[in-house]
Amino acid sequence: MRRYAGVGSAALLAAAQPGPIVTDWPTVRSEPPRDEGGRPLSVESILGEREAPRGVDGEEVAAATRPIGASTYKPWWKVWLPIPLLIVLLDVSLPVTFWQIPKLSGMADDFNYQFLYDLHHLNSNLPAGVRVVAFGSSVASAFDPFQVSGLLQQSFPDAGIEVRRLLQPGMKPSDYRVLWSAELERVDPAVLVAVFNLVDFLNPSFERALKPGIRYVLPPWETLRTRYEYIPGWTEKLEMVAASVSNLYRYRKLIRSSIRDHAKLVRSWWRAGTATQPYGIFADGYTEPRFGVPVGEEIEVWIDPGWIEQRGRARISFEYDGRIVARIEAEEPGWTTAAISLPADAVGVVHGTVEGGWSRRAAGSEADFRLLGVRLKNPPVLGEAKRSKPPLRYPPVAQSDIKPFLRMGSLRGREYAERWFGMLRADSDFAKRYRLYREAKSERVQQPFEASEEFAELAMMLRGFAAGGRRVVMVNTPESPLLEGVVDSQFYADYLSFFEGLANSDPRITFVDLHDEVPAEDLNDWHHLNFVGQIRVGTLLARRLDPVVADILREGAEGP
Amino acid sequence: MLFNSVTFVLFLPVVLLLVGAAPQRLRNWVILAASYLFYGAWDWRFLGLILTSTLIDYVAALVIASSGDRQRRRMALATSLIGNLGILGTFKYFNFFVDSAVELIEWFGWHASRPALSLILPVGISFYTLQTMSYTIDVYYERIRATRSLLDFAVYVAYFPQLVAGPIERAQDLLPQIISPGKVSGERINIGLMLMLIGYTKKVLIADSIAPITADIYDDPSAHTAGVLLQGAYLYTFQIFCDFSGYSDIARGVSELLGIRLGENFRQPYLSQSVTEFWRRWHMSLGSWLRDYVYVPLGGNRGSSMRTYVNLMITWLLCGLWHGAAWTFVVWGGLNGIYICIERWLGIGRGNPPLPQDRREWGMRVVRTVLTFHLITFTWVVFTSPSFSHMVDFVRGVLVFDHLGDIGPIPFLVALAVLSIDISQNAAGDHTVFLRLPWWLQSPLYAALCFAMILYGDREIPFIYFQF
Repeated sequence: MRRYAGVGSAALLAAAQPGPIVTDWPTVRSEPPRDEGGRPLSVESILGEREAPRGVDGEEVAAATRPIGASTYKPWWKVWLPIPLLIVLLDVSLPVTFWQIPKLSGMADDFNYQFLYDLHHLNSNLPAGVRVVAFGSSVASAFDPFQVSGLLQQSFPDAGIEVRRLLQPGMKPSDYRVLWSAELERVDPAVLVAVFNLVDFLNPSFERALKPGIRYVLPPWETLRTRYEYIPGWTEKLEMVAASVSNLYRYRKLIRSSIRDHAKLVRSWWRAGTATQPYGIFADGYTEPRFGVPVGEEIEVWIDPGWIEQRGRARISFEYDGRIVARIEAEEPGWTTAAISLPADAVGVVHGTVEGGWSRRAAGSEADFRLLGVRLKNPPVLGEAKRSKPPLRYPPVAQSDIKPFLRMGSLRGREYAERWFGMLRADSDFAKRYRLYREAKSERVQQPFEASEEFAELAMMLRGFAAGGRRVVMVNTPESPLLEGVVDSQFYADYLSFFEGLANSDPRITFVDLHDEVPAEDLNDWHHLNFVGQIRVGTLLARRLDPVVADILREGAEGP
Repeated sequence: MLFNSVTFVLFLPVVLLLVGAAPQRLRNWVILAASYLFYGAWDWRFLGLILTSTLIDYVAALVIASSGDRQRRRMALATSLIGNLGILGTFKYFNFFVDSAVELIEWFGWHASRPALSLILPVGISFYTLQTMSYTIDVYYERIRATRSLLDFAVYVAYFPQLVAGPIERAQDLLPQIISPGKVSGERINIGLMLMLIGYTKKVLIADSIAPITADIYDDPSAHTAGVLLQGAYLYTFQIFCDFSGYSDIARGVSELLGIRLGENFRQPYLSQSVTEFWRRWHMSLGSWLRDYVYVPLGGNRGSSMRTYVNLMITWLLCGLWHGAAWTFVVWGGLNGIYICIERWLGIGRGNPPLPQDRREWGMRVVRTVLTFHLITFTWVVFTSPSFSHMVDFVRGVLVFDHLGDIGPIPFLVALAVLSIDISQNAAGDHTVFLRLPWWLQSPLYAALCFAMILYGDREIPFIYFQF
């Protein structure tokens, strides 16, 4: 037997006549078939003569590699045909079933989900009275719609006021045009509030690739039809087609989010059940918007005048074992008592949730930057309180949304500015991002103002709303006073004039300019507000919406 | 074009319809066009390489087959080998060898400039290069006759289901089926769809779910506790299996629907009781290729024991190098070679062990399987670490043995999912064992899996073995 030295091609070339394979090397392949004379069969003549491949010790390999014999399986159509039918059934029924599932997480956990969740609420429920719908990019977070709703309801108690907001970071007027062209009639708002900031117009052209996050919330077929050339690549276009024909495909990310949230919920139950100790209570007896108090027959709480002033009303619900056990709704400040009906063997805590929350700083107490709920007459001793958390569910205001807005704590004035600029110099993602925003805004205002592209898109959309008989309110959100050289530029003056001109061109259009209405401390960055700023803007906005709603009600009373 | 992409989901039914509707004489033209479209979707320039490789081996094999002159035959074989290995060497190993040479020179204190070619690695080049080479070598050794049809041979080289990550098919197995494919019967549809479902489940639902976790852990091992590192090690062990065997299952399933049966590539490898057995069950087509075209030509086990060990080590080092142009892969191959040499020396792993007869034997089998699993898990740490320093950080971090609770339940849940598939298949000796379930149970179960894939299938994470 010949031995071979070397490796690779040299060894192979040397192996002119290899001996029989004598090896324990693993194999599942048979030796090549040969005819009686020992010559290899041509590939053509091998057909029909292949035997089952055998393993190293002659064992048969798995059935999938064996030649197919008599079938032991069911007819293929019996197994496989019902699958597309089941998928189609699921797909068709999804718009009915999916939205029944509660959304457990806050807005910032999944903006797409929140947007479509809110949109579904709007287009599946007819307006009960005056419906106000605000929309915009991330700067639409400048106010809390529940607060504005409460304040308007205080002014017009019988008008059935409903304030809702659609918010998608990065979504521009041209994107909203696509959305409203498909959804306006179904949502049927009486007032549309377009919320914007200079940051929405930094990109001078709408002729750009649609961001995936925005593509998810727009109606897919309408988007594909009108924005075909701005959707990059064939794969993305195919995805839009798939999303147009399949609800499962369109809402897959939302379903994933929902599964993830529910898995978290199950895990939190599995690990600790719901909270058993009081939580969310400050040492002075005030609570966070969500709090837990020991089980008891009644809970006495203080509704602060600042709360009523900021939100128009106070709404508190108490929950035990997943069931609402008491509610408080107050429009006057003072002490009030919730009578709680609990089972005899109830233990642990009752979970309290207030609608929104209020801020003493927004009410003028500069030192207190907490977002508050009620004040308890008999606050419990906290003990293990910090370990307990509220049950996982979708709250109007989530703690996870609030806390990042307070990275500056209680600082004011120069201290605040120093901390802000110090943070901006850091090598963090946040700092890089907001340095870029500063540069982009500064560069933009160096250019002459031209009412084209996104400005034109916005104007066209809003004029269309007004022409359809709807009221339009344009809100220019606050700029940070720390952003120098922007609001005092000629560009910014022309920018404001453009919107003023738009408002003057149609009595149904109103312009609310808030660009210098809040101090730097009430912003989280150059243009996003923290919750103190949100409360201030919410109060201002409600005041500016008052005459608009009054007009609508008067017109309604007078008839067409 | 990835198997786990919307494009492929649309591409496949169209190809199946066209192939089914095409007359026999046009069938292979359709498959070839589909294969080139499939491959060219990555980068149309890759087609030049595959065409070159196809033409080299087609001509070389015909020259070998038609010539009685030994010198001429050897020249033709040498042309094929140099051509194929030259393409592979240029595109895959040029920068690696240059960098290694420069580092060696600099280690001696001399200065060397570093010429670098800016080349992208054509996807699947390692796979189809081995496949085309094996054809010419088999013709040379008269194991098979050369085919005269360039079309059939081109389909053999570029056959899209197995083009980019195998199984590496031999001409004697695949070419006859390309020339005359089997009838696409109901049973083939059953098997094909079942294999695809298993493959997609492994890839989309298991491997791609794990991928972000392992990527984060292997990216910076020094930032994690021993518990987290162990979690990463275990998860990667399952990820690479589900990723690669998932690809093979999909490839085999798709091919069944075209009437062509591909070879088995994985046979529940993590149930192996030795590393030797593991390599009989893992990437079987590569194992048999290395045996026939490297190990045996080197002399196999026909010489002294020492020579056999040397042959084994050379083969495994080359196996490591085939996987990737980095020293970590060479070390990985060497580690497997050492395991196999030790087992050979101890007489472990020869043949397939009989089924255990009593509880004690079952217990020993479980112990051997768990031990083998951990030995293999360690090799994957070497395999997937981006550099030696990452590998050292990883191993050092594990040896601290702190926060072992951080392993968490995920590896056990993944193991449960993978083993439930593997043990069922192994016990039945049948990859499509789930077709034996009652049909009324199968449909909702498979529909649920399809539903999950629609939800989670848009991540489009490339298969790990595409980089090889």
